[in-house]
Amino acid sequence: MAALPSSRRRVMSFEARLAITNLRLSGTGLRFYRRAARDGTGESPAAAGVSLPPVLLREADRTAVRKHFEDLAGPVSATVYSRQESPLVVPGRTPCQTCPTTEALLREVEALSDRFNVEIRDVDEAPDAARDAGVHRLPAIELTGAAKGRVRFLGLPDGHEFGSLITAATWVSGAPLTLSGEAAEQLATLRRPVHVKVFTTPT
Amino acid sequence: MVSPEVTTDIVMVQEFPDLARTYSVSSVPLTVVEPLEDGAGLVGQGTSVLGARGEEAFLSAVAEVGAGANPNQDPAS
Repeated sequence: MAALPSSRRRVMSFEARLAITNLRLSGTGLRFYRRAARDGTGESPAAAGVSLPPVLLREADRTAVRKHFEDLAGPVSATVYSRQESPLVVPGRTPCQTCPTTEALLREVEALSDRFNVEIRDVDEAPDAARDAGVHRLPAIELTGAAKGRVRFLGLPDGHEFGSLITAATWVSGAPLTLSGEAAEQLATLRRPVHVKVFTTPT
Repeated sequence: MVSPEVTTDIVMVQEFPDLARTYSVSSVPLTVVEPLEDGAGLVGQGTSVLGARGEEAFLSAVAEVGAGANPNQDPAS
């Protein structure tokens, strides 16, 4: 192979350094997320001493979420079923394009309240957990708290659906509902499990 | 939130075109209420509520589907 001019070598070297820097930055987050998923601790990045800069939520959004989360009546767990990106193309394995953004978004929300805890579960590392939870599509966010019933978001909850996620978290925490007493009584008498799917879009 | 028998999925329809086809989703919001068995809704055995129809229409659909016999419950109990 012919030697490259020295100026070209310098450019390549600079690009290579950039690539390595980016890899290390993303590697920090990935290592943290994988460890939390493996250990099942759901430990927050702040508690683990990992600083991940917020990039998805504007300051106004963060302020609004903090204010909304003042209404949380108790702790809420958000389990994110996700799939890490692979540099390899694996036949039969569907890549999850919105998984990384969903994980990052939930981590940013987690940093806004001590009562909102996020656990990332990689379905390739823990397929039984996803199967037991009845999760067949990714990304999926399951919210659990003091309230009965289960609420899940399938797909990246952006646009208007981000507001729905925050509101749902408040209700799941056990905060008072807007449902009438009569309606609550009616729902309490259900005889068999019911699955409600609400199809929506972010706009 | 008031019944352990209810599992709710909020589905970003643009990410799951296969689900949109299965449920013939042509406009949103569309709410489908189905019996839940083995962690999944029984397709074709539920009822749909199109648009934001309010508490009464939604409750009626949930009550109708949830009033059936529980397949996991012992009939003698």
